[in-house]
Amino acid sequence: MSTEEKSTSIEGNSNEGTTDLKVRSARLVNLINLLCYEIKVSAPAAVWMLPLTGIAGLVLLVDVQEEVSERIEYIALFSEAIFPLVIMLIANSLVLREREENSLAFVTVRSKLTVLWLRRLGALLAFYLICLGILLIIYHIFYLPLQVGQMLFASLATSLILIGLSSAISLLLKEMNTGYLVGSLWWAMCLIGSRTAYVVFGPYLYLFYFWFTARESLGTETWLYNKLALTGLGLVLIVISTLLLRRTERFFT
Amino acid sequence: MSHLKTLVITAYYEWKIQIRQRSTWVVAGLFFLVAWMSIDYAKLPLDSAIRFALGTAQGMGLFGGLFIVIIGATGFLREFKPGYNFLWTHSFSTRVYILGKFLGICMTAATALLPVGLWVASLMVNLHGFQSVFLQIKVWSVVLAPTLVFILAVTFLVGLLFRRPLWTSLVLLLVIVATLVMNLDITHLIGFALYGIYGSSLIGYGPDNLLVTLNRFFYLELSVLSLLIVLLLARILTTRQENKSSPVWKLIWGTLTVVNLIAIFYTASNFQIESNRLSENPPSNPLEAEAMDCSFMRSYQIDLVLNQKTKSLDGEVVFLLQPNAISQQIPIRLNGGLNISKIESTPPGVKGEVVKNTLVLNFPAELKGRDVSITLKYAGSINIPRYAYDNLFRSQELSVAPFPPGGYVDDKTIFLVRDGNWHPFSWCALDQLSIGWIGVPNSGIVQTADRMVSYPDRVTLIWDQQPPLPLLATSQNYDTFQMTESRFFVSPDNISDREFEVVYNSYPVLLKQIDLFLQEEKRSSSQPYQIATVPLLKYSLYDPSTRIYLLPESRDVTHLLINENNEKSQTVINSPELLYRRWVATDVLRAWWCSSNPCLQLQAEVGYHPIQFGISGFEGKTVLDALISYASLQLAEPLVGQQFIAEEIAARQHAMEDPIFFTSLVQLPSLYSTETNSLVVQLHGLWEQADPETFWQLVREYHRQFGNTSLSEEDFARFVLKVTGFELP
Repeated sequence: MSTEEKSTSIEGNSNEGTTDLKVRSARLVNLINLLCYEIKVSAPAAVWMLPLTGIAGLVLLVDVQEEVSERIEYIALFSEAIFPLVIMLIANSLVLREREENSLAFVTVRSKLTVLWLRRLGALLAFYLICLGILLIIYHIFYLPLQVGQMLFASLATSLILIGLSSAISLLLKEMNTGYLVGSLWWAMCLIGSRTAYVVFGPYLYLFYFWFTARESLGTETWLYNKLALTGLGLVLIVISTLLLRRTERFFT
Repeated sequence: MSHLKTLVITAYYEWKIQIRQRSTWVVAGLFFLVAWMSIDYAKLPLDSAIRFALGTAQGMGLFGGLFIVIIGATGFLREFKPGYNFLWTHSFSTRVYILGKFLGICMTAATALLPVGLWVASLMVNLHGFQSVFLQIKVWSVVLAPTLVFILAVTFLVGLLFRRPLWTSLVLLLVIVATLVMNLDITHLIGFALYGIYGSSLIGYGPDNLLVTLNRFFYLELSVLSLLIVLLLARILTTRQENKSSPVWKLIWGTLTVVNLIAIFYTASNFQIESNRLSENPPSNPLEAEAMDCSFMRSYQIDLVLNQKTKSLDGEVVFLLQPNAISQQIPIRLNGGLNISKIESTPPGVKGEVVKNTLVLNFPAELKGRDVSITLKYAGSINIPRYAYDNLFRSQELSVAPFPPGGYVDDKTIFLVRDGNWHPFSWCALDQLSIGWIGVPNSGIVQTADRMVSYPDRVTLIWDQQPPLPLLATSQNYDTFQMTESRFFVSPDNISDREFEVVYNSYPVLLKQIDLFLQEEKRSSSQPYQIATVPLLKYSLYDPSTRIYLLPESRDVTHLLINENNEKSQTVINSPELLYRRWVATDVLRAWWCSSNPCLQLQAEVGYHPIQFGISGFEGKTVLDALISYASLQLAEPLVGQQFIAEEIAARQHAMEDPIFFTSLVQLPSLYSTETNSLVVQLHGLWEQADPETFWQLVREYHRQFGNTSLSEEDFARFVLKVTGFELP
């Protein structure tokens, strides 16, 4: 091969590479647009609610006391308790809201309901992690140095179990409110009767591990097991919800 | 008329829609779950019907708010969703429609509560009989209904502002849970008493009665205000074409709002006053009166009139003293609800005033050294501060101290004991006491007076000498019944019928044992023992001369009667029923021992362990503890049997070698020191050497000669030798 041919080939490869990159970027942009669109359509409240909860979380910055355990407790309260509740309330309505309204919205959707739900859930969780991540970074810089990843995981695990439970119950009983009720009761019991709930559910299934251990000045040795157990159970419940959703798939696809 | 029709139809349809939803039945299930968790099944047979009803109502009031928010928000805002606009094109009034929805959701909540209500009712009927269902309805109507109605009204208001069920639920859930996490319930019902409202089978909410009533009315009024605001906003915020409000509507709305605001202000201010009255600070040293001096006083008489209708007291105290200075300061401890209105003297000329808790008397010089009679007139009602019955934030001393007011008066129930702050010098001996009682004569009257004089409008009870500790207990609510030689006056539905015998049947036997072996003045056997349960009182009181025994109503004996570990044990000493009888024997003997003079040192140990808690003044009574403990063991012999006695002595012997083993294995009412256990074993040796009569003589002599004083072990050994002729083994 002559030098001229070689250079043309390289140029051609370079052009192909650039085209690939452009295509990939375009796909990524499309995917992001789709996810944003899904959030906007399925959970319009999330667009306001999550940033607003994050802004409400900034109130901790005016806290002047310097007790580390109390600061951890407050941070954990926002990340482990309040954010997961918000997410549970929003996530439960991702598909069920449209179904309960008996609208024809799903007729025009080409995806399967399970795919649609998981996509929406994924988008919502991504948005939630971004909001919470920003809040935690602000805490890390201005309030208390902390392991952002650890807190994100802690919050995600609690969110997953609450989402899984409320969705499974809602789909099982075919009504959104039942999921809200059961999820909120578990959430409230873990907060209000924290000590009793810790004994009843045990250190692995108690929802607010970091909040409780900071409040009761306990060690946090088993935090990973707790969060892994919650995540695992949450994912199992989400899978069950998916199966339940598939069973109730609309008759036209 | 058409408005009423719209209201009824809307309420009915809302209810119909909701009860067809699975969420309503999930709520019913969750209510069930909360009620199930609120009940302590082991304690249930020993719990009073009112405490049971209160426990379940409070549990569901706390968590029920969360459920009501969710079904309320979605129910109310259902028609605000897109696609339901057609509904708003109808010609009915928005206000009536909203009220109808409110009623419909209330009906749904009542329906969701129905299964759990029936279940609780069945438990109550099973334990306390059919009449207890009315009590449950009453308690739930007072405690639960206003709480749920208030939360629903607030949900409507927030829902109307947000217009989104999700937002409404989230905000209210966070508010409710935050309130609960801060140990307050949403309607502040438990907030003023973290350990719950006082609940007695005899006197209902008792001292908390007015506070509970005001609290419930306050939240009902707030609910009405919320709804009025909702009705106003609904017209502004809903996008429907409606005729202009008629002047009649405006007038009704305006009048209701103004009246409601006035009512809220009135109720809130009265609630604050009542709350402050109950929140009286406890004395810095609640055991102080025990050691106060009466030497200044030569005689002390009280003439008291109790008025049941007005729940008030009108008293006159006359005491004689011989001033040895021109000014004398006398400490007084008069109840916060009673005020001294007049101070008089005979001969006249003495100037007196009350400065804080001190009576300052200024005598003319010529009265110095002469007998002067001082008359204090006082009136008011007995104030029962929260520290006297609430377990919260109480110091150890307060836990041990007896019930300070020593009395209670309401329109159905009265009780009075001698040493209470219903008279100014409760620690001094009385020479005469007269209690006039204006009110409805009750069939159940338990009194220890020497004379009773009946007038058309009142009954007067007179004690011609130092009265015994129990004075009077009477209630229209008493259930009376006869058991062997005893007449019982008990609170209705206080203990389940099945447990009744177990709890009460030891008392007649033990009182008879005391008469047989310890009472020097033998009474006619035909005179029955009268045992009356009394609320608020902490310790049992006994008057052997009239055979009247006052028993605290709410005494927790579950740890004695219900103990799974003990039930599994093969030994007799760990049998819960026998342990309970053993404990009653100690209680009865201590009440007898302290019948003429209160001896807190002994009685406190029945329910509390002052030494364990490090309260000073309760140490150094090894001999007295041992003597009473062993005597009560022998008194209980007909109830517990010889085997129990043998096992207890063996356990005490063991305890001398290994105290930890003893306390962990044998759950006797008091935890005794090694010295006490050693002395009990020695007394048992004496019992076996000498005959029983010699032992009882020893106890009688000790009581007569030394009363509440505890001798040293050496002195006691000499005393035993002197009385019985035997040396302590």
